[in-house]
Amino acid sequence: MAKARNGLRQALTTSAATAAVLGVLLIQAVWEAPATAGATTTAAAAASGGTTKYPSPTKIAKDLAHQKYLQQQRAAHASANAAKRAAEFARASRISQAVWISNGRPALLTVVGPTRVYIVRDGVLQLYLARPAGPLSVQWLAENLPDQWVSWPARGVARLNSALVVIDGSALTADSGDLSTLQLVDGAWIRVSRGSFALTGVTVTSYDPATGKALPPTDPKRPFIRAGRGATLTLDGVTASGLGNASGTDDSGITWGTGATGHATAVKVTGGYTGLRLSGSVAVALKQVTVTGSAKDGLVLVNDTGTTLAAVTADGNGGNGLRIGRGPRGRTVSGLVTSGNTGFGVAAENAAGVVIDKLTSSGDTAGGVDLTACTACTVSGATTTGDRFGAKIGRGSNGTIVTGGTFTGGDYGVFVSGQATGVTLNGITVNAARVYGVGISGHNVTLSGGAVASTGTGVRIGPGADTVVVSRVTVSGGNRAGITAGGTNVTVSHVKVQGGHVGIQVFLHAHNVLLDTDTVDDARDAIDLAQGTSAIRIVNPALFGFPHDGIANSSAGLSVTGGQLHGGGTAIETQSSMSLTGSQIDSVREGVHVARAVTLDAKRISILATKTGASIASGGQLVLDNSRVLAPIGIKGDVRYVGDNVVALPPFPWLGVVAIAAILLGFILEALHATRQPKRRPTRDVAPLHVHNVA
Amino acid sequence: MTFLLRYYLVFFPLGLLGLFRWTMWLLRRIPAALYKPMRNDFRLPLSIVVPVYQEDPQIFAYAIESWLANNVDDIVLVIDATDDACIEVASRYPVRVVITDVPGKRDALRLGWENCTTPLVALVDSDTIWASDVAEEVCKPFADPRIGGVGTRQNVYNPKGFLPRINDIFLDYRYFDENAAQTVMGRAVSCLSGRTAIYRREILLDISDEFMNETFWGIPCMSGDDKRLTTLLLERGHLTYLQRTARVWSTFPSTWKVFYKQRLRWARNTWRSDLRALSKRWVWKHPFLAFTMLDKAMGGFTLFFSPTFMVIGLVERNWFLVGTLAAWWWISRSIKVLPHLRRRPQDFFIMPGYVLATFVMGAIKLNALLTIRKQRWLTRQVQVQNGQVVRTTVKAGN
Repeated sequence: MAKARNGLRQALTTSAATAAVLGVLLIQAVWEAPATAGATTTAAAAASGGTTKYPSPTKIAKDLAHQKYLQQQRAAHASANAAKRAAEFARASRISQAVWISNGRPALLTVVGPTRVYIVRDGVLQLYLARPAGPLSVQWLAENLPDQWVSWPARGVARLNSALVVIDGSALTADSGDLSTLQLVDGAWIRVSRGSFALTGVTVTSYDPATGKALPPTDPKRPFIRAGRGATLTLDGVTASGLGNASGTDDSGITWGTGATGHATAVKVTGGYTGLRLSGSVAVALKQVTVTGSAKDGLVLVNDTGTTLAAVTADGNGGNGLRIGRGPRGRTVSGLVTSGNTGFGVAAENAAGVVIDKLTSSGDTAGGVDLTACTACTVSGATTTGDRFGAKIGRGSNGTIVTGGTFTGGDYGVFVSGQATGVTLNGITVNAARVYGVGISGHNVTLSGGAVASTGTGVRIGPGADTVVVSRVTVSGGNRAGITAGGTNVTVSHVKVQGGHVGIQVFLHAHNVLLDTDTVDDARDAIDLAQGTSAIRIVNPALFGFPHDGIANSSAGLSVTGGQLHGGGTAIETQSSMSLTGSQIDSVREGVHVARAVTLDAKRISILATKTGASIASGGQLVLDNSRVLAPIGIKGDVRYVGDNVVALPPFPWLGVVAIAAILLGFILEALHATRQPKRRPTRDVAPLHVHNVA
Repeated sequence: MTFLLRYYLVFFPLGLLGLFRWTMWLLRRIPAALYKPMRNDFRLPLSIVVPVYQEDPQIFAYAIESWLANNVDDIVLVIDATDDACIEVASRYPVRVVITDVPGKRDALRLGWENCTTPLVALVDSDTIWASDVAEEVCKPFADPRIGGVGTRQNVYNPKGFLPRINDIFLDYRYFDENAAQTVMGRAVSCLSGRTAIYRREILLDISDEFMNETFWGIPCMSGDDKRLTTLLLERGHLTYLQRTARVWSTFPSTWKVFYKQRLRWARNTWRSDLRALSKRWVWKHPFLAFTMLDKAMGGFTLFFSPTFMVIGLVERNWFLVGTLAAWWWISRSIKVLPHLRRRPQDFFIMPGYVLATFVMGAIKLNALLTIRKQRWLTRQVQVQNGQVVRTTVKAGN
């Protein structure tokens, strides 16, 4: 019935404004005809009634004049009404056309205004309807607008066939009363401009009538929902699928645009082009939101202010789980969970002061966190698993802080690229990285505290790195090395390295490297210094259990001060001249080995070796100054003594000798005992047959 | 310098401790190596007294048959009145059966030797199987009139599984080391094991009252009868002797629970007896016996030093220390039980288990010292209550 009324109303009011005026005149003519006939009939009835008293001619003339006056009044009134209606229609046309023009000239447009709803075809107003006061529901539109604009194809399903704009403080709702699904056909979309749109408990989806399914993301006119300036868009318990297209950033899915606000609570967004986009939005709250299967990024935050996230998940999106772009400082993303995204879990680019807190990322193909040109950004308490990069601090990032967090698996735990500066990595934990636990190529980088474990290299300081400090980190090296240090102005201090082929390796023309109070345990070579490196200093090293070399040196001018080298092969193997001061070497096979044409200046050192104290190749020289060498073979080769030196045998291993003697004595006593025992019948002969323990 | 520090702070104390323990062992082992069993033709009439309580009927039958094979003069089985199965088994053999309704092993033993008439009485456990020449061998030491008691060499009856094999090692260690040395050094064996011990009957009658009324810190003693009898003999100036050519076999527990209870009971008995003996004069007339008592008491504590060093080595990941210590445990313990390994070389491979068992025993000894006043048999349903030996409830299924 409603649709029939609408059809009639449409038939009456279609066509242009001129036709409307003509219609008004026609109606006036129809109106006046029965009015005249009525008057005649009244006079006749009065005559046929037998009334003998006729009015006076004056009276008749007066009545006729009055009737004529009334006719003129009516004509004037009708003319005025028609003019007024024409003016109103013209005004409505202007409004709708302005909206139509400012919203991309869609073929079909529905405009929800504060008092009226307008429908427009190709920019021409087709109809406007007075609307009830208060929030207007999508159900009302479906019941009152022509099907070309909004239809009601099935119970609980409303289908938007036109673009729809909510303007001027209007409120549109779609809730789960009579509505379960809102379908948006190809080319349809919803924009909210200075109004509000509230969706509650419904499914919003693009719709392809041909397939009955959602439209693909490649469709350039795939529907979207966008809240513009001054608009409020709220989603509660909504499932949105297949929205957004590639034609414009604001058309990419569900968008809170500049100045828009609102919230999304318990919302699932699937298969969008971009899932949710907050672009210049204000105080949008996302809570229990899951964005999956977007063609591009799951969520995008650009120039947003006051956004809050709680229990937000981005899963399996074609781009990043969350992309953060330009915007004001102090934006915080907390508690985000990402997984299986093709890009990074979170990628921040050209942003400043962003805080990414307690991110949980797993299986994101590119990595967990990517910061590119991100100034003073902070990543705290992140947990990444199986991402290629746990965290990547890319080009142009300045003042980045990564604090806490656990980065497990993948190729790189944390990677600081060459064009990043002022990066602080504090108390991070890296587990089972395949290539580098931490890779550093930037400038002014500090890695302090935490633990790094890698099956490749624990911490790699690349050749381009400058002013890098690594301190108080526990590193478990893998197949390659615990720490490799290239670059310039590198300090590695109070670090513990466990295992690995090489504990600490200084290589690739590294310059001005200080290894201060570092401990290396169970590495094949505890410290390896490559040829071509320069200005290397080692202070108070604690090197234990090195099967091969404690310090393998090919760096000219190396200075080693203090420390202890305990248990292993050769404590110091040097291919370049170096100095050694105040170091303690013990339980090694060989104390020092000096190569040909090399001089080792040793002051106040102590060597306790199981085989050779010092071995100097021909042409090389050991300068021994106030030192002690205890070994079965004290010194082989050219040595020059300065001050008081002791070269002697090591302590005799009395304990071992006593132990061996005791064992031998045990055997001797047993033999003595056996020989003294009298010969007698075998026990087998006197024991009952069921007793077997008779030996 | 570090090496020297480690040498003096870790290895040297550990070495000193090892040196001390090995010295103690050598002091026993050297005389033990000189041990010889008594050889003569001396023979005296011999009776066997066996207190019987809840014994396995099959083992009991084997044991009776083995005793009968020794042609002893008399076999007196003092069977608990509640043990119908063993009464039935005994009725099949030409032995004397004395039924008693008094709970406790001590009263059964006394009842037994009072029923005998021969000059020698063998006190035997009901699960102990004799070789056929035991009676002949155990009489030989009594040719020396000072000998009041004689012990036998004992082994586990057909050991199968870890604990019986470990117990077999402990037994060989005892008879080839401690008891052999005590025999050589003064003929004063500290304990003639109750599984089979032979005494002069007249001495048993003499010490009967003291044996029955033993108390420790005011509490009547229930277990430890063998240790008590040996101590009373030695206290009265008689000598005790290990006749290792006399071989017997006995069953031993195969579960940790029973092993723990049995060892705890024995450890308490040893602590009580040794502490009491060391506080009296007579023991110092047998200096080697006193030495072994002291050594055994101290060994219970020094035993914990070595595992402590092992734990330190593991915590510090000092694998050299850990490896050396583990290897030393294996080798040194093997040397100390060399007589057993000559007999059963395959047991070399369970030596790590034996080492761990000795640490468990150390803990048990410590526990025993801390609970020294407790009087429970632990493996039988009897205990001392209000100064009397009483039966305890027999649990279903036991």
